[in-house]
Amino acid sequence: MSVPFKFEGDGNLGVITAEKQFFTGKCILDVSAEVSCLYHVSYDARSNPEAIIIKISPKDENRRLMEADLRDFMNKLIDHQTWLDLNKEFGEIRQTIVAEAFSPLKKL
Amino acid sequence: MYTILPFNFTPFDDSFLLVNEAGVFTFLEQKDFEDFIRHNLSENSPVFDNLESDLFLTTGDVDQAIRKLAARYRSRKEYLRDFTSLHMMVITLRCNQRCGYCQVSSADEDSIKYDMSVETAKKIVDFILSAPTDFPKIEFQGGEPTINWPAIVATVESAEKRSAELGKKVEFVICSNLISITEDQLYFCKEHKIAISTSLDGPRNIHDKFRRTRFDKGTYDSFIRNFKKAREIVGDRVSALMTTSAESLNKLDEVIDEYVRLGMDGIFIRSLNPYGFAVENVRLIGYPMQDFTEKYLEALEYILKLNEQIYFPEYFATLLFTRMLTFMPTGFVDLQSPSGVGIAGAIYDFDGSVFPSDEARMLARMGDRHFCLGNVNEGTFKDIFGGKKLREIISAACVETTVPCGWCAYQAYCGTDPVRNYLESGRESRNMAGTPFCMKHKRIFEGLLRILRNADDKRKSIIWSWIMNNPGLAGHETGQRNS
Repeated sequence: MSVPFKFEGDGNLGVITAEKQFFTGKCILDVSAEVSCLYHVSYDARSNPEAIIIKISPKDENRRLMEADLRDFMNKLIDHQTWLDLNKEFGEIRQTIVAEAFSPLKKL
Repeated sequence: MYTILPFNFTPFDDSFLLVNEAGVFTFLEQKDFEDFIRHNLSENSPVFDNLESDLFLTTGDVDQAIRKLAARYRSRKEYLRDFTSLHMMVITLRCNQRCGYCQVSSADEDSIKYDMSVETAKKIVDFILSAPTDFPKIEFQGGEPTINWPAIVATVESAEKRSAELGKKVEFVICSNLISITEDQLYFCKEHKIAISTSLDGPRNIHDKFRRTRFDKGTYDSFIRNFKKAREIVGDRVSALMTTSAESLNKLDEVIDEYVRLGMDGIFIRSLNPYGFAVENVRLIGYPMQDFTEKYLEALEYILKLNEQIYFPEYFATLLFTRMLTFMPTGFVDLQSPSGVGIAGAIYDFDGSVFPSDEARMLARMGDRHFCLGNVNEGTFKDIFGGKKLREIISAACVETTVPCGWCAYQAYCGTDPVRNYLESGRESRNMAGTPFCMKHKRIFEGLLRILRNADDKRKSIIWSWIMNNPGLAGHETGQRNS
């Protein structure tokens, strides 16, 4: 079974393949922003019509990129995409509930 | 032909558990479940009628079925109507004890700078009485609140006067260890109908393990002496809470027996919270959450058997059984959605700072004021409680949009704690899968549903006696409680 990530170059450049059928651009941007303090991040959204290719390398030149780092990045993508999907599906319900929760303040 | 209505589900033992938006649950054998979701379930099937009456499916007007579900859902969330009704005032940080698991991380007994001033207390009273609720409850906390008695007296007298002017009915509770409470203070409590909530961890060997004076002496004897005095003077408005530590985890039956012996009305078996001294001493007093849930369910079985003789509810189970078996609103700050922080209860620190929960205040004591909503001296109730900060906290604290709560079978019974999430992950909303919070509650829900599924008539009547707070339903004399 192939995994959606690999190492390139001198082994300190991680390449993650995020399939467009699962992951949105917003998800990838949000997760990249979260890790941008630790990694340089770049994208290629054109060469593969079915996926966005994400490349990450540690900002700290003395740090070796490990497979666990790429797996963590993948997990963050999954977590965040799921959260985005859930908010898309139920966000309106949540807004209604929160509005109801604060409605007593209208009395004041 | 039928229309399937919204529900969540999960495999449960040898079948499937289904729970709908109204919190109604049912179990289906695998074949029935597969027939049901494939629209192949026969109307002659024994389970069909129950699924229809419980609103898992409808053969009639879908809109009407949805309206019925909505009415039940609305009923369950009715507790939101009152907004913040529990207001906790930290009268002082000074304490005459130094308990091993204290989440308050108390100050020395002579550190008067940590007392709430009478002026601040009165300002908080005005603040509380400007809240929408007509039935505010003011709870005095600390440290040990009785050490700053003048502020308590000033608060009670001011609140009684103001609430009478406004047509509101205010209740009071003092959370006290009772170690240094005086008779005069107890008579004041009696006169003003102030309830007392105290702490008893179990018999002497368990209680004295972590509930110590600042000179590292046990407090059991002083506690028992003053507890009995409090009961004589104040009456049955005196109750106790326990905290499960590593010392008591495998001895919960002894704790229960002690509560019964002292004539308590029931017990709430609470796990440790990860704040204050509990964090510092976790190796000494902590335990894995898996162990807690296992022992909790064993203790519950012990209590259920005990109830064949006397009426003695376990309060957390009572709350959850109520959610599982009725549409009654069950607001519980620590386990509701949206979270009760700020909108069900709030806490005012000794200096007038406002926090949405005691845990948020504890976080501030640990150096992080992320959840501070403001100060009573610098804004109105509406400014602080209707402001952007609390709205954002609550928006992040709904199970409907939390992973994986959004599709969890137990969603209707559960809740979320943005402060705990923040403490453990740095985020108010996080992936809850595998967290101690999720694990604890999921295992307890499973345990309670298993009890309900296997309950005989006697056990069912015990459970209903707890839900309705009516000993007579379990065959005990009406009015007979453990005394």
